[in-house]
Amino acid sequence: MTGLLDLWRLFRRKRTAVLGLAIFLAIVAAALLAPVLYPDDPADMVAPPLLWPGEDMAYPLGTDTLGRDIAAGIMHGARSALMIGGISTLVALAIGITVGALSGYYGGWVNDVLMRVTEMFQTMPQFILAVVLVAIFGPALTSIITALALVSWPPVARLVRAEVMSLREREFVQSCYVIGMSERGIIFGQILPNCLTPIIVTASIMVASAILTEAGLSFLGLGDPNVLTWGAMIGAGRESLRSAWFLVAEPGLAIILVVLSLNLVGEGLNDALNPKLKLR
Amino acid sequence: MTLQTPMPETAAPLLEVRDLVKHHGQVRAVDGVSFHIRAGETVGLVGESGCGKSTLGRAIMGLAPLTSGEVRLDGAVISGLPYAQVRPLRKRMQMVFQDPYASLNPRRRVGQIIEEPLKVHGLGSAKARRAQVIELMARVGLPADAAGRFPHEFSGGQRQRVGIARALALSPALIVADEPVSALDVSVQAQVVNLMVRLQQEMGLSYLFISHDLAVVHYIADRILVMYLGKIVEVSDRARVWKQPLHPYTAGLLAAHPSPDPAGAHRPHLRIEGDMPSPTAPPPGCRFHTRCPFKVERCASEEPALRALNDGRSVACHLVEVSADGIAHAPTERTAAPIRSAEPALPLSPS
Repeated sequence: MTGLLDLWRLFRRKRTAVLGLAIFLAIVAAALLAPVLYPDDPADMVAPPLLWPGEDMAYPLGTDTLGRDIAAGIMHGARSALMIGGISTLVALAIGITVGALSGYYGGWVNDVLMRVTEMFQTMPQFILAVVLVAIFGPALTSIITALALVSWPPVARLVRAEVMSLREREFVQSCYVIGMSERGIIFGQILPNCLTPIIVTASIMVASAILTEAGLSFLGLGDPNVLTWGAMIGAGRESLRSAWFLVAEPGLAIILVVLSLNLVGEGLNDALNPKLKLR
Repeated sequence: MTLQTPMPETAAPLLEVRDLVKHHGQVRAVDGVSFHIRAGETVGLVGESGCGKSTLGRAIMGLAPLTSGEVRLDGAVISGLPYAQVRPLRKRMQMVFQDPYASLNPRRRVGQIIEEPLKVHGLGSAKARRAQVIELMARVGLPADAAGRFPHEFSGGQRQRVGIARALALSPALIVADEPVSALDVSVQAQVVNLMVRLQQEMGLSYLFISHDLAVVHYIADRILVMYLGKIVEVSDRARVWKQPLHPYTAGLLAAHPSPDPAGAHRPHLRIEGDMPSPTAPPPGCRFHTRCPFKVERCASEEPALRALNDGRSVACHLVEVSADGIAHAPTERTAAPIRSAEPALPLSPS
């Protein structure tokens, strides 16, 4: 498609965006290759504990206090980070787009009710709300994803609402009323496809912040004990921070890289998709 | 009596608007407008920007709910209906928008845009629809390869042809054209207006042609409504609006145009100064009195009704007088001292 090609041409102009995309693709590759390179459970004790990085080339990133391979943990952690971040963002988008579209399209009391609910969620600090939700539902993967989705949909709702409100008055949408198109057809066929751009940009940032929040939850011991995550690795390595700092630094670096790369990609997409900058 | 042929009043007019009022909060955009359009007729609606003419067009199409009044199509009330009941009526009336850049979805191909109305109303098979799209494109003068291209690949005039083809797809009886040529280059305007005239002859359409440009309206319309600040101030016809405007505002609109024929040069040049007052607080009395060069005391206190004259025209002005022989006289001719004349040095006899 020429559209995608044009997008890439604009995206590529920004070096940081390309760098972000490269890092992100590397992390995706790590996640995909994890079961191939490390088919065994990364929680297995495979080597003597506290091997330093490079000390034994079989374990390039060292081992933790229980003799678990950190490299295996990082790669499997990428899997869970991307999965949790991705799914929770999809759920948040579904909620946010529905709420935003309804309230922007119908306005009136629908808008009043939905926006008050949205504001209610927005006034609570995201992380604290996530902690409370996980504490209530219990530390399982589904409840963590649910909690992350519940704290991150309000900005999407507000964004979509604003876009829908302005698009609804645009002449090409009015022309759809004139030809008698159904309201469903207008919302899904005309309005939403035209507000995809800001949604995509927001989504990339949302994945990053979901990963960050999840790491925080795991660090506090609220993660799913059966799923290995970077946050949990940092939490476990915290005790021996002074003697073996790499236990915290390595998964920490992984978190920084994935969050940074997603932010760079989001920024690059924003610039590439913003029609005003295209004119330069 | 006049030469005008009496119109049969038996059948309901195609479109009838009664006391239409549309307020946006404090803004009294349309403040009690009544008129009708007969089948095959072109009614022009002219006025300055901000006079409420576009709002009126949108209200007639049901794109904005009315504050009060009603709109009838084929005698049946269509205003205030839920959208589900309005949808089938779209086959009878369509709209052409002002901005051919904004009114076409930038992500759809021209063929899809023109086919959309047929698809929405489930008319014909996919194959039949495609054939019809090609026919519609030929009818409005678009090249055959246009179907696969996007709107941004076309000029403004070509895009407006796409908008017209889309409006024609459902073979409506009435098309509301909201400033259809105002966004186009002057050279292209004539092409699009001529296309609309030709389509009317071919398909027996009726138009409500909305424009701020009296010259364009004069060219296409059989009957002309002049609107000022939410109200109709004069209803005239194609010939007389140009030669003998009754309302001072109509005369002022005319003065903004160079005369198309030497005979018209005799009409007085009336300059209207200042801006239209805010529609949030229209002046008391006649809404035009703040800018009217002929105003008398009565104009500031008493609002003139739109009265029908026996020559088929209507006017809302206290100063228009009908003499014993039934001929209406615009205030220019008798009430006040002559303003400025286009004629070189006409000797004025002191009275």
